[in-house]
Amino acid sequence: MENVLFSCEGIGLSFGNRPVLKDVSLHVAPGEILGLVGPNGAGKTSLFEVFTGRYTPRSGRVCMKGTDISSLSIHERARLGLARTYQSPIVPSSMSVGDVFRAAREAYRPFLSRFDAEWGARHAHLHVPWDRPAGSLDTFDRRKLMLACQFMRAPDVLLLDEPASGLINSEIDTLDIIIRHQADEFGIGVILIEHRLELLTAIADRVVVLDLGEVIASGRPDEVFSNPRVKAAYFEDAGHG
Amino acid sequence: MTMAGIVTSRHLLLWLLFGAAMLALPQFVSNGTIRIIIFANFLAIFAMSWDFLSGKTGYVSFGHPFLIGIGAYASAILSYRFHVPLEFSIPLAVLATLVGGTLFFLPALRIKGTYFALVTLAFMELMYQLIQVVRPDLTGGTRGMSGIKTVLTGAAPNFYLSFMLMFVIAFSLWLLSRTRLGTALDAIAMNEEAVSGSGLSTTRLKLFAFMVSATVAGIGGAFYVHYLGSIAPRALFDINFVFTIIVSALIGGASTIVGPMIGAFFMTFLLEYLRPVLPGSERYFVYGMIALVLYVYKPKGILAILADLRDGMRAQGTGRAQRGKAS
Ligand SMILES: Nc1ncnc2c1ncn2[C@@H]1O[C@H](COP(=O)(O)OP(=O)(O)OP(=O)(O)O)[C@@H](O)[C@H]1O
Ligand SMILES: [Mg+2]
Repeated sequence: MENVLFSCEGIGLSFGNRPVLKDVSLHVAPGEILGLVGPNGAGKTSLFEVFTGRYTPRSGRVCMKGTDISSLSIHERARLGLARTYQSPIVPSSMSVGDVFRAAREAYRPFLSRFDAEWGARHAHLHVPWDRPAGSLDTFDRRKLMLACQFMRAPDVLLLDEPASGLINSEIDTLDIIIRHQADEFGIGVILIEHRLELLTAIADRVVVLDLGEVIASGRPDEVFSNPRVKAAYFEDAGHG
Repeated sequence: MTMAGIVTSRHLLLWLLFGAAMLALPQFVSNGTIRIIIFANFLAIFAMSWDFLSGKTGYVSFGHPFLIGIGAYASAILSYRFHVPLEFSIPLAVLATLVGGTLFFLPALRIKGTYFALVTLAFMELMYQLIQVVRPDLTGGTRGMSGIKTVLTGAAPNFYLSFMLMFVIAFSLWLLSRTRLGTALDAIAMNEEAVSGSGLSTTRLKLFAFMVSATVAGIGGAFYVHYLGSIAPRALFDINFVFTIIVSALIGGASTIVGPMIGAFFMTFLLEYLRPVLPGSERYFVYGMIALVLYVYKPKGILAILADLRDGMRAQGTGRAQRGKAS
């Protein structure tokens, strides 16, 4: 495979004797946006937790920039340039936006400057006064704040867990622009979770479909979504939920 | 944000007033009351120590007397049995608390939630048992020790000493909490994974919080034993003592430094005023009720109630001013 930035191979994960991920492999290239889709409970977030190092898989390995990072701890992977955002945009509500930035800048050495934070905010399209309490921001601004904190460290790989949930259409368009810009301009490899198929056609270069912990399809968005197996998995589930 | 921006002149004035009131206090109240306040000062130190570990990181310690005990026993044994002067026995005891505490708690910091609480509780119980059977010639066994040297004598000097200690510790903790490590510790309580996901080693952060907490507990324990002049294992390794420390911190407002101080004073005076009414351990039932009610309605504690009152008064004030303008 040419030009792989981040990949996982044969990831297996179970809780007790319940398998959550079965032999999952995927990869992302620099500047590529990979969509990760699948119905509720498919194991998307769990796969992210394996990537970041919070969950230890039963089998398989995670590689970044050509090295096996499977044995590294969460903070070591983060320092290597693996950034993620969370499904629910929880921010430290009692801190001001400026304080959140300061904490992120000083998370580890080298400490970043205020200009780096401003740079991150600009690239995340975050236009709020810095003395506002982070808890008073709306969903989208919270997401942007979390993105800005990640952007300023100039990560190599960005894992986004349902960044579009709770946003209205115009906001989703802005989000697409923000993410696309990071990928095109800085060559960041992005993996983006979204359980609404149609949203991915606009932003993803490629998608991987996860169902019950297994990869059931991957390829260009339009190809994948017309795949009968995907339709079956998806609409069956949607019918229930 | 700079430090000068946080310490407003109003804050400074309030603290100066408070300090002056405290300095003048022994002139106005009885020695009995002074002794109660001395206990409150020590309880505040213990509550701040607990809060820096548990309130900040969310790792709830039920075994704080274990740490306080190391400090108290180490200094007591050194000075009483080996005639080491207090200038040396107290720092050595603090060091012993730091080292001993870290050795025991370090493995425990790897486990989370309820298990951490249980393990720390077990440490306290273990120490209680060990002190009674291992070398009672040193520890005084079940009966403890009395006639231990005191740092100062008399109510007023001890009051000043304990107040100074409490104040210096509070100020140091406040400075620490303003550092980037302090901010990160606050964040751990909210979401530990997110903190490590931002590239911070949470194990090292927790160790830092623990070492600060142990140092403060050691200082408190050592000075407390040299104030009392005696040590009684049954009172020290008592679940009600743990409970008083925890409830002080929570009731005042966890993770705020000032909160545990307010809580300690509140709890101490409550304990004293309830003593004639409820002589036995029924008092702790009342504690529990108050803690529960506060926790349900005001999880941020007394400090939050005071802040609400202040904001309420301010809002009323401005409301009145505006109405005044309109008419
Ligand atoms: N820590 C855990 N312990 C036990 N089971 C877990 C744990 N984390 C996840 N699971 C289970 O693993 C399965 C996959 O969960 P996961 O959160 O990864 O799904 P998801 O694809 O992100 O779903 P959603 O679209 O709802 O976010 C679920 O059945 C979930 O209950
Ligand atoms: Mg999920």
